[in-house]
Amino acid sequence: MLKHIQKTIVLLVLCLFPLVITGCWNNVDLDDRGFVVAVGLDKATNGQFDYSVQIIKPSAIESRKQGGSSVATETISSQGQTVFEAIRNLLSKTDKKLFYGHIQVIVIGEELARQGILNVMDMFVRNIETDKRAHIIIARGTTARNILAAEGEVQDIPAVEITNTLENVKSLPKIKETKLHEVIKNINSNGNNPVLGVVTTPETTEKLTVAELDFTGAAVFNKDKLVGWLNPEETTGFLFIENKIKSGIINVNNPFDTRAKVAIEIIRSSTKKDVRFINGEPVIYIEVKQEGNMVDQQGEGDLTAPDKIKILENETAQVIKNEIYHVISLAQGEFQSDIFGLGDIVHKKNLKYWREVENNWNGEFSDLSVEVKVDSRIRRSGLIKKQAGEAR
Amino acid sequence: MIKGEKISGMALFLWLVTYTLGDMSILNPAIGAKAYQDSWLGFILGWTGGFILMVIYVSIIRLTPSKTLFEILKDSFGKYIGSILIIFYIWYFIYNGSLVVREFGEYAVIVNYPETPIVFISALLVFMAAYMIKSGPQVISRVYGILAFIFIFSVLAITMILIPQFDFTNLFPFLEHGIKPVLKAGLNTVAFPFGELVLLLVIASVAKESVNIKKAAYSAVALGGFLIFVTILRDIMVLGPGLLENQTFPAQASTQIIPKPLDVSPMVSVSLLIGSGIETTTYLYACTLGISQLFNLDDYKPFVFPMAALMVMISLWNFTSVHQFFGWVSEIYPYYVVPFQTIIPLIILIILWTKKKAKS
Repeated sequence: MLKHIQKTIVLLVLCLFPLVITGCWNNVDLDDRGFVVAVGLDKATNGQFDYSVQIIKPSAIESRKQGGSSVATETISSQGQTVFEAIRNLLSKTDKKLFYGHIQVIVIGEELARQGILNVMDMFVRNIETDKRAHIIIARGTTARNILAAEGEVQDIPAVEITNTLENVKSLPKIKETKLHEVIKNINSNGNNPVLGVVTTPETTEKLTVAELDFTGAAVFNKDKLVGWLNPEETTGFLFIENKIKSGIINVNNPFDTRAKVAIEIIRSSTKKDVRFINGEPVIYIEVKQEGNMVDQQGEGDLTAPDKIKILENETAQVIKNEIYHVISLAQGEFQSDIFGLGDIVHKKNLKYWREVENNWNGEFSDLSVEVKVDSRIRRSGLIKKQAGEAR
Repeated sequence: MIKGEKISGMALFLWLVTYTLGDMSILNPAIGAKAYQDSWLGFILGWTGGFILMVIYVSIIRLTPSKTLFEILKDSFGKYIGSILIIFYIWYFIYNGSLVVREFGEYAVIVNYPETPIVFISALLVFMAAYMIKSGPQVISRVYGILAFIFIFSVLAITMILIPQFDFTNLFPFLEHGIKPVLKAGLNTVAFPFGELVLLLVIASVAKESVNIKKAAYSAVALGGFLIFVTILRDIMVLGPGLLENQTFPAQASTQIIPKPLDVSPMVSVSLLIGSGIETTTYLYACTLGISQLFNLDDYKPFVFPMAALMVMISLWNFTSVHQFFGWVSEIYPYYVVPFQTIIPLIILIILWTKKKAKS
């Protein structure tokens, strides 16, 4: 008898288990979730933050697949004194539970960036739900809300189109892509300042699309405050110093015809940056080793001869050198901001000197002399030797 | 005293390795002592200290084979003082267990289940442990003998995946903040995790007579220490000293840097679950065994569930906030455990030696 009772109790407990192990404590159905793919942060007029999010509408994606033309995402915004307050205020405008796990891009308006971005980024780093690998870009001359409102053309979701464009930096070194955790690392360090990606809008358009946005260039920061911009060419120079060049095109003059250009495609590039102490004085030392292919020739002439290749190589090296010198002089002069992390190198190399200059590093950095070495090689030149159509 | 089949040397070794690693997979004692990039050096000092402590424990076991810590206490201090010390040790075990439970609960609430009440998570962990202890130490050693491999694999796998993110220059400048924080980091490391191996005195009696306990114990300290050392170096090199000190859970932060589409942070949670699981189980086992031997009872099993409930309650009542918890663990804990981990075992060893000399 006792055994029977025991068996019944065990059976009852077993029946209760499925109720507990089926799912999470705070289960939310997929239909009730709003997936946030992009976040925009701006300065509002009353000293508050203006906060916008781009949310996916799953039903609209379905209808687009079947040829409908409805927009796949919606953008809503709210305001608050802190970011988290703004996030909660947002709930008055949507019926979904917002989920930040799939956040692709964080856009920050120029005005807010000049004021400092750390106060608005804290929440994204602190919160477990946000993806620390989200891209951060600065909206130049416009608000983040405008950028989020841009519609996607190639992709259903504009935020995905934005990140895909940013990742084109692999082949086009005029774009700067930065991830959330990289920015935090840079701001955290005393001898390094972040450089973020930039997005600009065309002058006049009725209805903005992502394809019309321009992502070239970069935003220069001092600590967490925006201090200036790099144009696309300067961005290339910066990426050379940072050893982030994967590919890219460098145009040099044709030695036979100075009005014509020859395009060199970078296939490999590596940079060593260092601060060397010569007689106790620190000197910025940058050494680039670059390899490329000759991919496009304007003007006549046989460029495959060894001496001509040598000329092309030297010219390429000179172009890269100039770009690097230019961006360093900008950082030392106009921005007064060590965006190359040279302070960190000094810190690790020469602690005694670093302790003297630590509090005024950006000032010290501006007075350093610079030495750049570029070694450029051209490896191949494609299927033909002379310009196409040139017989003799 | 302990009935049933005894465990093999390999099982004891795996038990000790998993126990040493424990919650070190997410939290590092050497980090947080303001030693920044020199934390690894502090860890090595602590590791050396761990070996020295292990010499004491192993010598005690060699002098009193197949006896538990509680029997040794009674033998060497007499009935009354011995019993008082046993009560102290029971307190030490249940309290340490509650710290592990609290830490696991805090991690789960901060990282995995933000809206689940912490009592639910803690209770699940402890009652799983209690159920295992009811089945005896053989079952514990079998379960963790299997899980140990998953644990070690996940720690190594995360490290391998993170290799492209390593920046060796993060280890410099050497001794930037002086030697003092490094020594503090070393002290923390001695207390937590190596000093916790005082539990070897309790679980060594479960091993077969033929087992070479010396070998199992030293190799466990070596392998467990090595794995923790790897995670420390990894976190310094991946996050950099400044970011590292600012993280509540450095290992979790490291995994979030791994490029898309890979996401291995669940592996950190899994390894923590295994690590916290074995620590809770072992502490609970030790304190229930202590109670049964304090009262000279044959069976420890009736005490398992009451002590489990007590452990959950202590873990919840003890600290009002996570800050208080971390503050206590890093500031007071390393000094609080010194009598239990160093002084009393040392006195036991001296008493045993003098007794042995008197006999011969």
